[in-house]
Amino acid sequence: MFGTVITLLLTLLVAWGLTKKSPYVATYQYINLSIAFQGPTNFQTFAINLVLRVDHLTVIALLAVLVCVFAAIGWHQVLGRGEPGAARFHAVVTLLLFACSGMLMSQDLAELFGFWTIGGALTYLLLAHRWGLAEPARRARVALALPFLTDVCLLSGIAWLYARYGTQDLSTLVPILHTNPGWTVRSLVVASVLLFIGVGGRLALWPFSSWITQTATSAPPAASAIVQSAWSVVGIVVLYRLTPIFVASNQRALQVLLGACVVSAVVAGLLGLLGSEPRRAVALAGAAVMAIAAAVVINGAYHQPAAFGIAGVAAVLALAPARAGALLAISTIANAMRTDDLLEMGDAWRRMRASSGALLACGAVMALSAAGALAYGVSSRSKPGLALGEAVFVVAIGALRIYFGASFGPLLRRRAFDPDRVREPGGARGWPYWLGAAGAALLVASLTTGYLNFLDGKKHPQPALEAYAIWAAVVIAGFAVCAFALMRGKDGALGASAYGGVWVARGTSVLFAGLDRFLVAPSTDIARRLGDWIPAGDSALGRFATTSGQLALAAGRAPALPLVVVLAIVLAVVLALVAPGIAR
Amino acid sequence: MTLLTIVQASPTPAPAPGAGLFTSPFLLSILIWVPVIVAVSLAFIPNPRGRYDALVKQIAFFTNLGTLGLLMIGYSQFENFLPTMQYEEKIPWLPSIGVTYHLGVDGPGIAMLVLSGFIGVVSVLASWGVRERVRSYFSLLLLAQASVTGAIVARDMFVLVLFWGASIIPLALLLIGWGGPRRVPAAWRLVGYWGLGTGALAVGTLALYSASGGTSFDMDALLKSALSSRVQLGVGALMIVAAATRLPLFPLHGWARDVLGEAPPGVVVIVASAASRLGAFLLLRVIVGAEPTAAHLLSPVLAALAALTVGYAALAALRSLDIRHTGAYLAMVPGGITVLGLAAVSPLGIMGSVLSLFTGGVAAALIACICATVAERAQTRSLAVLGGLAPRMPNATWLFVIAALSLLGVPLMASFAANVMTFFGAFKTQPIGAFAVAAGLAVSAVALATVLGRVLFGAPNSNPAS
Amino acid sequence: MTYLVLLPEALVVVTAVAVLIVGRMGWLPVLSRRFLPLVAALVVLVAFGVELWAGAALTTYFGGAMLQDRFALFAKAAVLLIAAVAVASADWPAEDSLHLGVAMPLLAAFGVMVAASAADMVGLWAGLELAAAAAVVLVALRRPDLGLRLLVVGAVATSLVLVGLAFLYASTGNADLSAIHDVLSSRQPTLALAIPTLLLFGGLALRAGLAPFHVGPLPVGLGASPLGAGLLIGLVTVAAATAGIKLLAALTPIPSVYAPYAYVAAALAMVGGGAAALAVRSPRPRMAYLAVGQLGWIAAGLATHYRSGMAASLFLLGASGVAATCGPALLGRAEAGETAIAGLGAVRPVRAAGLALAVLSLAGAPPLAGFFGELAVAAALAQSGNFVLLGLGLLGSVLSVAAAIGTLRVLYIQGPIEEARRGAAAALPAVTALSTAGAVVFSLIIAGYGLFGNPILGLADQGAEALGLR
Repeated sequence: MFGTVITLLLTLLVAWGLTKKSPYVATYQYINLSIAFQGPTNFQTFAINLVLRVDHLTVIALLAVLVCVFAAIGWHQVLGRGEPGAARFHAVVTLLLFACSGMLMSQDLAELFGFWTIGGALTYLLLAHRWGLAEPARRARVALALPFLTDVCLLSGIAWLYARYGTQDLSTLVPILHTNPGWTVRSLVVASVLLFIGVGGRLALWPFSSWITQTATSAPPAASAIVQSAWSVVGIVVLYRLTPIFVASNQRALQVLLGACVVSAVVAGLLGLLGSEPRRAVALAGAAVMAIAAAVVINGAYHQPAAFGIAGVAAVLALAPARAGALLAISTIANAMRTDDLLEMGDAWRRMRASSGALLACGAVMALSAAGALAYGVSSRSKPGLALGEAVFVVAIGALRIYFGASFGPLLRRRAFDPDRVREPGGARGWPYWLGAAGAALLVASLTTGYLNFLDGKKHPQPALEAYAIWAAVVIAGFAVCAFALMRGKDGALGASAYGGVWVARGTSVLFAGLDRFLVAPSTDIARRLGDWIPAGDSALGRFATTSGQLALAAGRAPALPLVVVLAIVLAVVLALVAPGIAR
Repeated sequence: MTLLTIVQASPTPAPAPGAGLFTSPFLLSILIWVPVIVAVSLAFIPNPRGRYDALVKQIAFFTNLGTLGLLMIGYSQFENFLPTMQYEEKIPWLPSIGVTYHLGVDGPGIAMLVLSGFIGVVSVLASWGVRERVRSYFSLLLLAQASVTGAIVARDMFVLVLFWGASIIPLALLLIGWGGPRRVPAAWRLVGYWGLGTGALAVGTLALYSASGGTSFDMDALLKSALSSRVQLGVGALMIVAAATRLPLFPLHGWARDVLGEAPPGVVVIVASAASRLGAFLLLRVIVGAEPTAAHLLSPVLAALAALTVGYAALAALRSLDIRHTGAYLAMVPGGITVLGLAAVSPLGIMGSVLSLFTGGVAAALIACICATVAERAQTRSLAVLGGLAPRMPNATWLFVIAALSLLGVPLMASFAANVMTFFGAFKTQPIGAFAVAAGLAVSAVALATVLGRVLFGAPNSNPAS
Repeated sequence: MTYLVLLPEALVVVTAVAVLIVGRMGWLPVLSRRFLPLVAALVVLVAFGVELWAGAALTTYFGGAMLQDRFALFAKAAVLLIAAVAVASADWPAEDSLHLGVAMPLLAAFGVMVAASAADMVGLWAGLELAAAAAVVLVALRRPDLGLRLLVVGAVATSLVLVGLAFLYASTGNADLSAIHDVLSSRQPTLALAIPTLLLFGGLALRAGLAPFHVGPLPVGLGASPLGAGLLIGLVTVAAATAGIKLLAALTPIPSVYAPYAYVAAALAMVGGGAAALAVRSPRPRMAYLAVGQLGWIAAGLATHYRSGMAASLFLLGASGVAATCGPALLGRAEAGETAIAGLGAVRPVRAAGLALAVLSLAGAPPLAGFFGELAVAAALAQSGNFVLLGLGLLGSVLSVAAAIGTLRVLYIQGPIEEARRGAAAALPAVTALSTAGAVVFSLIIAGYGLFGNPILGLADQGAEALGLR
């Protein structure tokens, strides 16, 4: 009931926001303290205001999140009936929606961090939904630890900015970035890096993507879908809003950030090609597109301040529903075929056409959304452009690989599994389609300048048709390569992927084992040993004190009388010697 | 761009609640000595075969409730923004050596007092299940409570040392008499560490006394006298030792695991909250409030100690196999955050630190107490055995979750504001320490999630014999 | 009015002698046994009241041989109160002789009073020896061998004191303390003066049981009767300390030569006493070692040679004397190890409370008498810049408090052993109205010593000033 009310309110908010011509800002004082009576005026008070800014970007982003959540819940109602704690699931999803709204509407960085933390905690609860099982609980801990560490970076960046400028409201912070006493380029660079890492963690940019890949199979599919889509939207919007801070640092810093996004996109895309877990592949493909979009946002700021950065945001708004839809579709297929291995899947196009088709549509939207963003924001002749082109190419292959792998080829009989009983579940098949459709609609919109103008309220020139064509061609080339490879030899292609995935998994486990062996275990071991040594040391001190006391007691049992008599004799002799008249 | 600002309407001036109902020039003395008198009286009430156990518990409860009520009246009459002490009581005590019976509270003091009063009631409620030697137990509990209150409101360093040291004996006896299987070593550790801290406090106090002319122990004189940097540093180091043994801070934390792991829940509540916060309160009063040179020179040390404490506590909690030890380690985390705020030596950091005295005290008490309660009800402390208790202990589960959230400073919890102010204030002057504490907090989150998942929400243990 | 000041001495000595004679002659009716301690205690209390009322007047008597000043007032009032409470709270069935048990504490108190009022060496020595002799008598009642041992040790101590006094007389040509002070204050310390001082204070330290000289009297005290132990550990120590303080003041500046050694001895006593108290389990040895530790604090205060240090030592001496004398008396016959006092809080609550407070006060635990005394001495040490000794003293106090907690644990946490399993050595102390009243008064004194510390410390300060210290 509560969830329904929240969803309804947000829907109304979206509808109302769409009608507004200019942003609506509401400010509510949460904390306002006088903390000093002298010194810089910025630091004489500390205030956290609940500044809620509703503009077109916020509204559309909210709409995208709502659509994803709504569809995922609808899917979960049917195919998630076997999951435990239905009430808990819905409560957490509703609260996450609330937190996402807060993040999207926040203008104050401390307020943003508050909602961010709430969202983070709720994300963990969603991904760790299957408490009762050891493996999901273990994997969910990665989803807690890794993003929390990046959240610490976000907090550090916000606090760093506050320490220099005395404010955390973006509207008052941005104009004074270069004017406040005490600012330096170095401090802005540090803040930019910290903020980027903080946001990048939740965007699941490689190498921070393991929290979604590790939980892709262990968490309920609807939970994964909601988390991946919601954080994509929220993260990119926040990244976009923080770009003025990145711009204020220096070009070198922006280059580094751009380079990081490019590397992340390429590596995530390649990793998505390896392995035979389809949900992991969807997650990595989505992470690659996120990195491309982030690169577009930063590149837009790098070349022409915030000109085409909005294209990256628009791409993600299209990506989010598609990503969720792809996850739900492949989950439907995996559920029906009772396997999470692409090698064992097949023939879904014949047996589960709706889900298979939804998978194709969503995969296409995922790949094309990246192309759309790049058409606006990146030159195909530049170095980043080349690298991003490769990433798009790889994403396209990866997106379609899942479709081809699941939809074609024979579906073999296995132990306790009869392929003839695989069929589309009633009631759930529509949701991935709707998500694909929403993604497609938003994709088409993202290719028009009018939509971009609507989003950020600025005027954007239309890119040349060639740009569209080039990038679309890259995507289509990727599709073609994938289709060719898989149609020629599905087993061989997927086998190669699986083989690569095994090596990646080995590498990852070696890395995690190494981390555990050289970082986690020694740290916790030191803590444990200290916890033993210190009490042991205390006990030794106590024994020393007791032994000293026993020594003192033993001394008390010394033969006092003879000693005293001897002492008296000695003293008498000494006195006799020093007495006047005896010694001179 | 439209701007709509929602501003909370200023409340119309109204008389403070309780004004005219009660006022006393000896409010603070009443808060200290009434529990002492009741404790001594309880000790001599004849209680053949425990016939009056329930009466004893009720007397203790209503004593603490009554003092809390008086405290609330005093709190409502407390005037904010007044730079001077309030509810002051000053009587010459030993004028030949400069000792006065001087009590008073300011903002941080009233926050600590409210914490202490609240914790006093909670400790009695948490001790309701005590069945053996009830009279002695509640006498000692009231004495411990009174000594903590006295240390909070003391405005004379001699009086502070007196109450600081006075809390050791009743707590040690409570531990020995009603604690767990390893209560005796735990009690000796408590005596050793807190004794060391009391000694350091006494030496520091006397050094201050000597350096300021040896005429008065009053804080108004001692803490306002101009001291050389060397003296400030020496005294500051001693006060850090005293505070570190109380809070506790790494590496003088050796008592915490055993004491919080073996003490009965009512004692855990007092030790983990008000008694421990005295350490930070001392740092605030003596170093940050009175020794500017030492505060700036020692702030990296404090930040390092805070970071080490939070990091160590989180890692140790992660590896612990005993739920009570886990709770004990986690109870150290708020202390580290409080000290970080003090290390910042910035107005915002200090303000956050003062707020976290209250919120951290509550959070630490809650986590330690709930771990003790779960262990008691489940009749085991081993995390390998405990599992899936949420359906059978729904109330404890809720409390555990709230404790975890408040420990982490999640928004909507009181500790969120304190933590934000602490971190924001600390990043200005101690960015590395602040980052390290924040990272330690993240590890604490993992530790909490592990415990929650395993003990409450995980699968029930199918092999009870293990 | 002038001679009213002598009334307390008269009352005490007359009562003591009367009890001695009556008891020796066998004129004590059996029924009077119940009332004899009460009468004695009342008489001493009256003497205490008279002392407080009339003793404030500064006068000399007997041609200047006896002096009534603030120091004498403090010392005499303290020792009278100690004697009254000890007599009231003693476990009389555990004592070997009623009349001697009543008379000897009174005589010892009289000895302290004589020493406190002494204006010359002779009076000082006489008072000290009287107190010591009373202790020998009481100890020898139960253990003649220990009495003999104490006599020999005491003889050595006396000989050291006498030799020292003789040399001083030879050096200064005066037996009068104020005349000696006048002569010596204008002289530099020389070997000829320093050695007698060393002998003098060595003898006094042996008397008092200051570590490492506690090996003399302390083992004796452990084997004596309860009151005998209290007399030896408490009153005799007070007598020796009283004499020592007067001599310290008179011989200024010579004792300051030995200040470093005094500090070492004080540190040894403070830390060693605490450690030894922690190592033993039995309550009487524990109290004895705690008293040794607290004596170290007294010595530390005296070694500062500041007036404030002296005053603080006097203040602590009063607290220590009460606890060290009355503690073993309260323990009574329950002296056979920890089992004797296990669960005493349940079966003898008032005695147990007194015992607990005695142990805590001797350990210097707040907020009792010993704590205030030790902190006052600590303040003096801080003023003299002796932070190392201060730190060691506090370490000793921590060890002492830990030991005290061990005793409290046995008293209140452990359950009492069954009556049938109690042997004679673990028998419960007797409960009488007088002993209960004595224990209550003792508890009030220990608890209220700090509360009413202002007049007491003020008097101690005046006492130090009266000795001519600045």
